[in-house]
Amino acid sequence: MVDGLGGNPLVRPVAVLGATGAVGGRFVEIVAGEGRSPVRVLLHRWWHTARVVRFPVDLRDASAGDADAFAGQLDGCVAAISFVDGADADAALAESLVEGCARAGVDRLVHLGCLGSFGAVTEGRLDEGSDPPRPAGRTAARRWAFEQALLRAGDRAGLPVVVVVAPLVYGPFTEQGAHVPHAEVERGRVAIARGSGPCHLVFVDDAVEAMWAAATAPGHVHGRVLINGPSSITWPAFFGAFESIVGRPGVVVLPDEELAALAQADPAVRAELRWPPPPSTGRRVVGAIARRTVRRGSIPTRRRRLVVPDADELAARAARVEVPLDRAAAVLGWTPSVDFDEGMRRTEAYLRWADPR
Amino acid sequence: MHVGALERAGVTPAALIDPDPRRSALLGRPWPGVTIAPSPDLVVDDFDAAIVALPDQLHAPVVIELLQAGKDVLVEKPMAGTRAEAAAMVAAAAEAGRLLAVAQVRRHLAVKAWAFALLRSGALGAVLGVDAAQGGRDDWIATGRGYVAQAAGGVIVCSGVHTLDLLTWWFGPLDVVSCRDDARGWQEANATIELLAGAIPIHFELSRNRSRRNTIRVDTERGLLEVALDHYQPRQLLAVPDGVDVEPFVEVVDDLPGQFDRQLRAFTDALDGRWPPSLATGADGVSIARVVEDCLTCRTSDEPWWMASAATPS
Repeated sequence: MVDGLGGNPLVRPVAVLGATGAVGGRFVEIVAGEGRSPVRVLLHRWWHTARVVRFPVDLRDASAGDADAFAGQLDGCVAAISFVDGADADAALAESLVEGCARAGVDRLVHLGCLGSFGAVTEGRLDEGSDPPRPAGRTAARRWAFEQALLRAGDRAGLPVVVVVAPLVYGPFTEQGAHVPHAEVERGRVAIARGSGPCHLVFVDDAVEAMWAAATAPGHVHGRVLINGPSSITWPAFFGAFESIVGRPGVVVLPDEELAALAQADPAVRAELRWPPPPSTGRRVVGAIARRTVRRGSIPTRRRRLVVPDADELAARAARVEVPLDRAAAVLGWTPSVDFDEGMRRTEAYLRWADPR
Repeated sequence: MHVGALERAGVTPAALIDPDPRRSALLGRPWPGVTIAPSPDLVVDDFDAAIVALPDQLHAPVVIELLQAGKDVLVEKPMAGTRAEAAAMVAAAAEAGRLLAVAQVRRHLAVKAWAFALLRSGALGAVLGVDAAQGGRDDWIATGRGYVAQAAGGVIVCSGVHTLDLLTWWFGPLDVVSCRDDARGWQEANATIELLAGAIPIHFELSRNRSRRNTIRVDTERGLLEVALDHYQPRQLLAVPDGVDVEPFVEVVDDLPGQFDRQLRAFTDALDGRWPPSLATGADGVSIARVVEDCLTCRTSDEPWWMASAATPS
């Protein structure tokens, strides 16, 4: 049983893996900043620690990535919270992590999973109770394999493993939920298929609270738990929110067939489309003069290049699935609290703070 | 970077000293057969001057030992963790009659020496105020076990000392008026420091996770002088008052190796008895250590707005 129930601070530390990322960093800020628990940060690489070392966290080296290293560094922790992602997150790492947790006497392992793990499901209501099929797309498949390996290793080791399956996480410090769409809308025109499905997304603080709830929920909790924002929006609405931040149009809706053809284009061509180079100094000067003389937003958007999703992104955006929150509410006692307007208000404020132009 | 500068200068080091011989061997590839030693005392008769690029906390004991052994020293920044340590290093240099210089590599950006000469010439009139802004999202200097391991290795110590040194070089010793930062029990990622150099007010913002303009703006009687703080900027000189009779600055590609090359030349010039103005002295190092210590002593909390979940950003 996890201690600290009933809102009392935990005495034993929680260990955080992946704390240098956007969601993991916010988790540390909230948990350490509010004194909910001592925090032990297990580092794979000693990069990008500026945000978390503001707090008196216990930094540990887990770069070896084997069960012995994890067991040694997790000793005494009540729960391990994983925001692990990337090419190193494979089945072997999953098994080492679970084995290390079990050996160290950790009560529960909580991992932030990805809705892309259900990528092969394109319609209908998602169900945590059934094993999701392997999704298409290299990144989604890798994440799916890691999550599957965590759950199976947990079954074998008798360790409760909770995979909190989140859609796109947006908000301060997030890449795909803030910096990337902001840059894409600012520098190009983001192409959206007319037939896109709903855009499921959750604000970063809500995702953190779901992870905390999964770490501290009473009783035996194991398996997947889906989370989502209070309501789903459309993909044009998501990217459109960045148009108002940038101050000009940056989204174009194309027929499905046209965008599908572009998405299938040669990767080099797509990369060129997707990452238009920043304008030269001369063009910046001309642009600045133009912006002073032309009413804001009236510069023809066709002059900027298309940002074309790859085939996997296109397929994911076409999915029309419903994300039920019943299990999150029943088992974790969690419901989302930040709606899209409020979330984007904070995201905009963050972007203006982090990258003032 | 120091080893690279030696190699480009055609200088063969007398010895490479590191407790880990594999690391020394790796660095010593350009010089087959170069002496490799785990500590300086084993090769103390083999060299006259040393470049010390150890972790910060080892600077004081190792540099003092070298000075007492009669060696001239170029030590990486920050020179010392405390002003007491820095003062002890300077005292050891004076007692031994040896040189102690600090590797403040950003001084050796070409535009810095040009601007220093311009300010000293009096062509801009009196300096009315200074505004420096430094930092970037995921600033690289925020990384690395060595930095994190330091008790007070926040942005002020790690990257702020570059600009504090520049301000000291250009305007004289600094006094800390206030320091606001976002440390919550450990290391700050963002700080705003108000300083005085004599009567000149200086505003200095620095960040590890926020894009800043990375320039120093000097407001003078004749107008604004704006200079890049590091070599990542596409242009080094951003603004100079109109009508000032001054030798024009020629923009060049000024990469980091080039700055290390100039720093090495400055140190060898100093060894030859010609101490160039761009080379930081031990006294400069004491001054910076005092400013850092004062910042960390008088710091007040400046929590980022996004820490409070429902806060309204300012």
